[in-house]
Amino acid sequence: MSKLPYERPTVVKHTSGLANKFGRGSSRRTVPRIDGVAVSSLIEQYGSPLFVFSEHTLRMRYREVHRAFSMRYPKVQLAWSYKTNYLDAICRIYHQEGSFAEVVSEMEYEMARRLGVPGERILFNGPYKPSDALRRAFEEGAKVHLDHYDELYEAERIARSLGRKVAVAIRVNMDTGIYPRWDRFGFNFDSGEALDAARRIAASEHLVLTGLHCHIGTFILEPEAYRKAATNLATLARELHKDSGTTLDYVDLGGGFASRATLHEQYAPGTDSTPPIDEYAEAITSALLAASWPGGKMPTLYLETGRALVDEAGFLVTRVVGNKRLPGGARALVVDAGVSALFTSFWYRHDVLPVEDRGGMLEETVVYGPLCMNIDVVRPSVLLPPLEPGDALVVRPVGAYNVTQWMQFIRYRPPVLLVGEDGQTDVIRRGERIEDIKGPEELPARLKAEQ
Amino acid sequence: MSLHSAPSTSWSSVWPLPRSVLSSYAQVWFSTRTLPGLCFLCATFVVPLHGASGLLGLLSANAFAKLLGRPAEHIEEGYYGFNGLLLGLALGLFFRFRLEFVGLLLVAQLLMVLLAAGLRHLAERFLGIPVLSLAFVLATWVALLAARRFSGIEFTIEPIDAMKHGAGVLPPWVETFICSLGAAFFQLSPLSGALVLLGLLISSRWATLLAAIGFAAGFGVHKALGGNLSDIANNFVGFNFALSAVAVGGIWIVVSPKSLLLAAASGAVAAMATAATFVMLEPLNLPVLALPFILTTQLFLLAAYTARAAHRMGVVQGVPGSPEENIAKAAYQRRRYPDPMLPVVYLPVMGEWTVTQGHDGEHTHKGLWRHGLDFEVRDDRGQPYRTDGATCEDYYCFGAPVVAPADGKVVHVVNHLRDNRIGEVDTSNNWGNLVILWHSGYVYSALCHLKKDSLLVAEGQAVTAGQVLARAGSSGRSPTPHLHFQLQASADIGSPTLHGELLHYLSGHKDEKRYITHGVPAQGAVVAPVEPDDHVRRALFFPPGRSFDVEVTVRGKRHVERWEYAIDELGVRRIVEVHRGESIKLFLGDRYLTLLEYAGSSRTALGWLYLAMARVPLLADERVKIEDRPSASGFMPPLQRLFHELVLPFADLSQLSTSSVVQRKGDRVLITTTLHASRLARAARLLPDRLETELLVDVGLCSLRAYRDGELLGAAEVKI
Repeated sequence: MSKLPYERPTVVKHTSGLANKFGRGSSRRTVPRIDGVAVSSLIEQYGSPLFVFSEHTLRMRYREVHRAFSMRYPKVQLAWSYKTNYLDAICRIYHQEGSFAEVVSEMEYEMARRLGVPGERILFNGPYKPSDALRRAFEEGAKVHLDHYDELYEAERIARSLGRKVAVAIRVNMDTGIYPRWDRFGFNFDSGEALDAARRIAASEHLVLTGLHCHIGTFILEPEAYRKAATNLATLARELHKDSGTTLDYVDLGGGFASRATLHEQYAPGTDSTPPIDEYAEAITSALLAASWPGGKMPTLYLETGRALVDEAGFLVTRVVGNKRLPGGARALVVDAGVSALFTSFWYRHDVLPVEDRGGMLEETVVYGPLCMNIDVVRPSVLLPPLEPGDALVVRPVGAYNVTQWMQFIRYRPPVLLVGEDGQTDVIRRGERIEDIKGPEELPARLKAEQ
Repeated sequence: MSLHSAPSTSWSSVWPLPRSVLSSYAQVWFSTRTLPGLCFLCATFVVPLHGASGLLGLLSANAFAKLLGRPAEHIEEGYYGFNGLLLGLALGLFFRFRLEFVGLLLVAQLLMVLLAAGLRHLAERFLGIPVLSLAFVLATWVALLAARRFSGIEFTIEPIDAMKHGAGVLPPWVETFICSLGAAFFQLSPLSGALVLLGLLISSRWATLLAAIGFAAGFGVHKALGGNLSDIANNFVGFNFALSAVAVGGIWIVVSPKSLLLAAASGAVAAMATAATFVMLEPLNLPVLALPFILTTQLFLLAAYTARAAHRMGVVQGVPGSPEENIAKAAYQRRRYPDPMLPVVYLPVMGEWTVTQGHDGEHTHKGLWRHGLDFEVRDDRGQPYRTDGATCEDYYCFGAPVVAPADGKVVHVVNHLRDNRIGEVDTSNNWGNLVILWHSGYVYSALCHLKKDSLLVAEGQAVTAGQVLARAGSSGRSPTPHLHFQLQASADIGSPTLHGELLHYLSGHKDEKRYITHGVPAQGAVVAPVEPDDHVRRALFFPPGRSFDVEVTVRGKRHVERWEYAIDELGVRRIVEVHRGESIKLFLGDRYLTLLEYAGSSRTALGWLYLAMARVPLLADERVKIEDRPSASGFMPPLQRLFHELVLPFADLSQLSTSSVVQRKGDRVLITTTLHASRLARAARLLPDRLETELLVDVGLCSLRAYRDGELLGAAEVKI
């Protein structure tokens, strides 16, 4: 009989556990492979920490979302929300799948153009579009969504100087019964402000209104809110038509669909509680199909899905650097990736799973990042088996917002890897080096002398 | 012999005689073209006074027709003219050309016009067949009988004397044949016959061949039965065999191996009818004229026109043209359009669906119900469900909207049956929840296995194509959620199915989608409807009445074409090149644009346009390939074209296939078309192999570029 592996003893106070259906599970899960590629070999080759994206999941999820809408509504167009993840490789995959680009700044606009996305396939949102950016967007035929009156006036000035009519859409905010209510973007529906703004555009000699846009919030777990939003937009479209004869080319329901991540405040894991995309699709499309459209002309439905497309395609591979026992008796781990890379830790109760489980008792563990900051907590509490320094963990889902909102703070940002559909691996963003951080800096001549 | 006229060409507008005059001559041999008409006119003037008699007859008939308020288009197409011409020639054969004769001729013409007007009305309205030259035959008999009582009318032998012109040059049987062709114009000389043959060859090679077949068959029957051969040579009857064969074998029925047999058969029948008519009229001492041809042709057409036979016999659809035109039209109709007898509808769903059982399927689409289609939604793995597929809700298609496949009226609904658990079937309510729509005539469609309580329509309600009717479900005999769709013959549940085709859909996956104009998707096919793109619709802007110059550069040489977007009283739209008289027919529906019937060469920008935009669906997607097979004959050099025309009824050697991609760039719509031509079609030196067309939203066509072997062949710029 071979020798059994050494198992570290653990002393825990016995409790009866949480006596409800959301109580801790005791299943022992591991993530030894991502898309068939062994995580250990990835670490060996590319080091740790490491972001890993699955091309298969990216494409599959896009098709799933597109299918859910296109089988329910005749004209559907997705626009990839750049701010969610604007790595070139990721954006290119979505564009290959047929997605437009949704950008919220001149920087993102430039990113999309750099990738070869033509102007007319860009939706330009955001509360601040500098005058130059706005002019370029109009010149290149982008779909500009106006956020406020001053922007509307600016758009009109630019259109006048261009000497032609330019197409614009307005952003509309409304009460759809969800909290927090997003009322800062665009013109309010309930107060009639949106209709006023549309009238103002209809009266303009230089602008023509071709679309309505709304973005009711983020991580919305209630599909019915979208039904309300879609119904309101249809109502607005009808009033506009009655009022000024405007017929719209499109309505844009924005994004905000929840991914299968779990928020800190949720009881049940996201995999169980997030509605399937079909429920969002059903709510939106059935409202649009039921509405009566001016002239019987149904507008194209645009969607700016970000998180729901990309989140589950992203993984963060990290390694244990040390074990701790906190004064209160709780077990803690220090890992080599912290909140500077994993911004979503502030919102999500990520899945943190070992790559390999060598047995031992599962224990509530605090997972700390490597930053010398008290707030650097990846998970305040997660059931993990005993782990040793060098053991790898996989954090998921991390595809949305992390590689855009991460910050360079204390440590370099990790490389990002793409696992292709045939299992090939490509670095799509290399790990940072000192010159990436110090490159833009200037040391004034008078400070150059060393001591 | 009442063919409608083709659009007038600029050539005929400079000709001193009105177009209808030459076209009346041509009509005797089923043509409307001016050049054959001119040959026939010359043939009649071999004896000038005889010819004058014919021309006078023609002109007076037209004048009387006008006086009697006959429809202008009937006069223009030459219907009264050719009857008048034949009457004039028939009487001119017998009588001396003098004042009394002119009087007789005019009165006979008046009678003929009255007969022609009445008979045409009766034949077309009650029998649906052409009246041919019946008015001429009756009027001629009346005039001949009446002339016996008028001493002012004198006989002549001059035209009969003309027999000697050109006699004995050719072998006797050839001479008999060409004399018989000329006899259709009451000409006796081989010279006239040769001119008629020339005109016939110019107007149609197939008509010439059919005439020979018919003549040979008639002559053969006559001879085999021991008939007197001088009957055919001396009595102006041989043309009856030839005319019947041309009419039946190529004008009203498309030339095919079968139609050649029909032509021979009609020649044979005409031979017997001729002999019988001859005997019947002998006591009255009246000539047979064209009666055997008229009766034979009408009988054959009456038989062929009964609805079911029409399909099998290859009856010409729409207005008949020359045999060559009919062949070409039938060939591209077969290639490019659904069978007009078949019901056609659109896909009853939105988005991409997989056909899981097609017509004559392996499970239930058999026997009386063989024309069913089952649809499911599948993902990239080929699975119809997410998770494990244990419940209906796991299936992608469960709850998906089902839409009306065409405009219609709801005639039957079932809404209360529960959806089965996965794997179970409800065979006592086989079809489950359903909607049955009535579309038109005998065409109904049924959408079955719908989701319980999901119906949005009620019996009696009118619906439009694309309107949401219900949600896909799994009721009835449905072990897993799917949609069953069929066209059927009645409003009853379980009615036998009808064969029909689906219009206008995309087939294939992501990057290899093909646009299908019509067809029945096979099992396993992934299909999606095409949503008309408003942008492309606005770019396909051809406002009737607009005319403009097009600057064309071909291999460095510049010329200017003047184009006009025309529309006629029937709503037929054309793009016309005014200087050369070339034109393309344009059809712009709510789903696609088609260009057809191009008459012209590949040297003009108009010809390029025809190749570049043979069919443009209202979609802009660089991933969708649009394939088509327009007619190539206009682009071939004359000899190849001749060969092609003669072989076309048996094999299409001139295959010209195009593959286009439509893209949107801002306000512009770009159409890139690649041409693959067979060797025969490639012989045309200026036939491009790639064409780029640019259109602008709300402006229409802007420019065309033609390439061959990677080099720019020519370019055209629209000057608006």
